[in-house]
Formats: sequence, C-alpha cells, structure tokens
Amino acid sequence: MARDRTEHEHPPVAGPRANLLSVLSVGLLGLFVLFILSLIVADVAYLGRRDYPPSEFWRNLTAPEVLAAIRLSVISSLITLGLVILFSVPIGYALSRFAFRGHTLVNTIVDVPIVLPPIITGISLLVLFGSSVGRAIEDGLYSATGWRLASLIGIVMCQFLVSVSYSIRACKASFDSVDRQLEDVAMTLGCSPWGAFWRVAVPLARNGLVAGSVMAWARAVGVFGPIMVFVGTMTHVRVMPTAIWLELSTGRIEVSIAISLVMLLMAAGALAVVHWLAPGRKWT
Amino acid sequence: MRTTHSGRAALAAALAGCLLLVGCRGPEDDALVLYAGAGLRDAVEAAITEFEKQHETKVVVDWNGSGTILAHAKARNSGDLFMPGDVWYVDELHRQTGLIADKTSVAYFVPVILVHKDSTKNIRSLADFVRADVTVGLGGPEHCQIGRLSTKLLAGNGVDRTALEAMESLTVNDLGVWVDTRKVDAAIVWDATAANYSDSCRAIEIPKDKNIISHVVVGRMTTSQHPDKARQFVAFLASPEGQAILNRHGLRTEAP
Repeated sequence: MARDRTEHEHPPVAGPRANLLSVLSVGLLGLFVLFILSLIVADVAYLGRRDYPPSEFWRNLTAPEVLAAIRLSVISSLITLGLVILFSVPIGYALSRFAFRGHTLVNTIVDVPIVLPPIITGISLLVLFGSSVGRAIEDGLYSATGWRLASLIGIVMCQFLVSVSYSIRACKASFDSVDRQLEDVAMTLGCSPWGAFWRVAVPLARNGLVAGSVMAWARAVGVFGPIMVFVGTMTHVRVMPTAIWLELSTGRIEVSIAISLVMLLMAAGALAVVHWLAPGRKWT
Repeated sequence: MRTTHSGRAALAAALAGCLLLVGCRGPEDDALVLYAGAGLRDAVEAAITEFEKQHETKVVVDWNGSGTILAHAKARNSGDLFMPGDVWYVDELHRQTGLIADKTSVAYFVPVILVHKDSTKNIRSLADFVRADVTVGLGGPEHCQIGRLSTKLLAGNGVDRTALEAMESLTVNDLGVWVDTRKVDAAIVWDATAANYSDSCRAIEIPKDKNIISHVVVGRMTTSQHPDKARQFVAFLASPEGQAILNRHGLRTEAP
C-alpha cells in the first residue's frame, strides 16, 4: 500500500532552479572542482609527456625505499590518529561542556597550531630539544628505551602537533550539537558523569568525532616542514612527503608525482569516509 | 559483546603495530652519521654503497637543504660528517660552532646554463639573459652558493644581475625543476644539477676563462664518535675508486 504523504513531507527537489544564487554558487563549485581536477590531470599528463611507461611508474612506486616511506607514513599517521583521538575527544568535551575562568583564552590557544605555519613547529621542536634541558630529556629517553627523537617518535610528535587542533575543533563542535540535557537526564537516572559522557554524549556525537579524526589523520599524513626541520630525512625516518621532496631534489619529478598520486588516493579514501559519515546518516 | 570485540580488535592492532615498528628506532650507535645536501644524493649514495661493502661500516645520511643540515648539526651537536652541496655552509658551520675538524674537497662544481631541449629561444650564452623575451632563474644571492657565484659570474660576462628581473630560488635544485617544467627559459646551475635533467634539458658551457669554479667539500666534525671511520670515508671519496663513482653519477672530479 502506498504511504500517504503527510503535510510534513515534501516531494524530492528535481534540481536547482536557475536563479542568480544557484547559478553563481554552482558555477563557483564547478570552477573549483575543475581547478582541482586540472592539477591532478597535469600531474598525470606530465608522466605521459615524458614517455613514462606504466611499467616504469610501477617500478618506481614499488622500489624498496618508496614502499618503506609509504609504510612509515601509514604507521606513524595511525599512531598519531590514536593519540589525536585520545586527546581531542576529552579536550573537545571539556571545551564544550565545562565553564571555567579563561575559557575563551584557552579556546583561542587551542586554535594556535592551526594558524601557525607548520615549519615553526619544527623549528620550535629543534630549538627545544637542542637546549640543555631538551638534550637531557632525549638522553634520558635513549638510555631508558634505546629510542632517539630522530625516529618514529619525532615524526609522530610533528604530525600530532600539526593535526590535533583540527580534531579538537571538530570534537567541540560535535559535542556542542548534542543536547546536554540528555546527559543530565542520564545522570538523574543514576549514571555517573563518566557514564553520561561515554554512553550518551560520545555515541550521539560519534559521526562528528570520527569525521574530525579522519580529517586530522589526512592532515597528519601530509606533514612535511616540521619533519624536514626536526626529524630529517634519514632512511629510517623517511615518510611520503619527505620522500617526494628528496626525489624532486634530484630531478626525479616523475617519482615525486608517483608518490603524490598514492597520497592522493589515501586522502580520497579518507575523505570518502568523512562524507559517508555525514550528519543524518545512521552509524551502523 | 561489542565492547569486548572492540577491545580485542584494538589489542590485535596494537600488537601488529608493534611488529611493524621494528626498524623504526634509529641508526645503530656504530653507524657514521652524515649530513648531506639532497642534490648530491645519487653520487653520494652510490659511493656509500661501495664504502659500506668494503669497510663493513654503516653510513646513515640526513639529506636536506644545506641550511637545514647546518641547523641540524648545530642543534643536535652531534654527527660525524658534514657535506652540504654548498661549500659556504661548511665554513659557516665552523664559524658559528667550531664543529669542523677538517675539510676535504672531493669534486668540482662548474656553473653551466641550463635550457629545455624544446626551447625555441635559441639561448647560447649569458649575453642572451638580457633579452626581453627570455625569462631567467637564478639562485638567491644570499641563499645558495650558485646564487652567490651567479652575481659575480654575470658581472664578469658583462651582465648586470639586478637588471635581469630574474626569478630567485632558495636552492639550485629548484632551478632545475623550473627549467624542466618551462617555468623559466634558462638558469645558471651546477653541471651536476644539469646532469639530473639530461632527459629533458641540455647544459650550455660557459667559457672557461669567464667561469668561476666551486667545490664539493666534506667536513669531518669534531663531534664525531668514530673519527677513524669518518677519516676512512673521506679518504674513500677522495680515492681513485671513490672519485670514479662520483664521476659516474654526474660530479666532476677532474679540474676543469
């Protein structure tokens, strides 16, 4: 039996009606999409122009040092993602739910890494750990664990510092959109504050939390300047962005582009996840 | 229960992650640490491969721009060898920190004019740089050795650099990329840089009597934990075998 339409339902819109607003906004959208696509097409066309056979492309992409860079990028960014989630969910919750003195100031400070040029993060880390205190910390870490900072640790530090603020912003916005009365009701029914957070707020904010984390992960994978300045490019710390730069330094633009296309695919996958988690879509 | 499954999945992922982390810790303590200019990578990596075979010594290289490796050497206050693609930085590191024990010239850098093979501008010499239809790329005079030399070189060939409105780069490698991608018509680069673009570009020689030659220098650092091995590496680069390897990968080892 066909359902009767109620007064609250509307027939689907067939498409934007052609008025000034729709033409302008869709036109700009089209222009922007065209520009992004032209960058990608230019990269692929460059390979074609140089008589770059697919077998050569595949050989460069599967060279041991390139595979090692891809592997290290994936490992380091996933560790960074774990740390980002660990920090940004509670911090976002605190900024959303708790009122305290200096809330505006703290809220602003949390945004500083977003506006700071990433290379300053690298320079600051280099200066910090080049100081006598910093060297003592690094020496202590080395004696205790055998790990130096010019290692996976340094890479994760750089990625984390550049990307965590994006996730904190997204988490705060997600918690802001959850009615806190629901948590209050949960607590009147016997939930602890932790229970209200974990069993009410987080599930309701989950789409936004995950989308924010994925965006932060995509940001972390692309971190370049701080890693160049603080960690360096030795073989055991080479990630995709620094590998791209190294290939460019010796004129191997086609290898740079090959690695860039891998990064593009990874970012596209991440963005597909973000859009799949768009508001209104059920999390199953 | 869902929570338990999530917990087990997280633990499995963490364990898998730990296995994958093997090898990410850092270089072994007995490895030589070399700070080197990224543009030298092909030649120096080939030399290192042979050196490691013969001497059973691992060499770990931090490739970067000359300015950044200077910052690394200064901040970390450690390392065995310093080999920027720009001799000025060896002296500058020593001036700022006193960290260079000794330095050895292992190759020559000879400036050449780099043009794209498909260029129709018919550029033959530095005199063509003043033409209105020619866009020129030069190293920044305060950023890289090729930039510093280019000013003197152009003056010696009757060209005022300031009148050129040239695009300025931070490194000599950027100039190679610019010519290769047709961003500029011509640039002054090292012969070794030009060799990286031999597929798409060609190098025009500058007459010997009007050219200024530079050097690739490797500095042995006072912070070296393995001074004898560091000396061995420098000696290897300067040896006939080492010189032949550098030469095969685009570095000029005979006096021009």
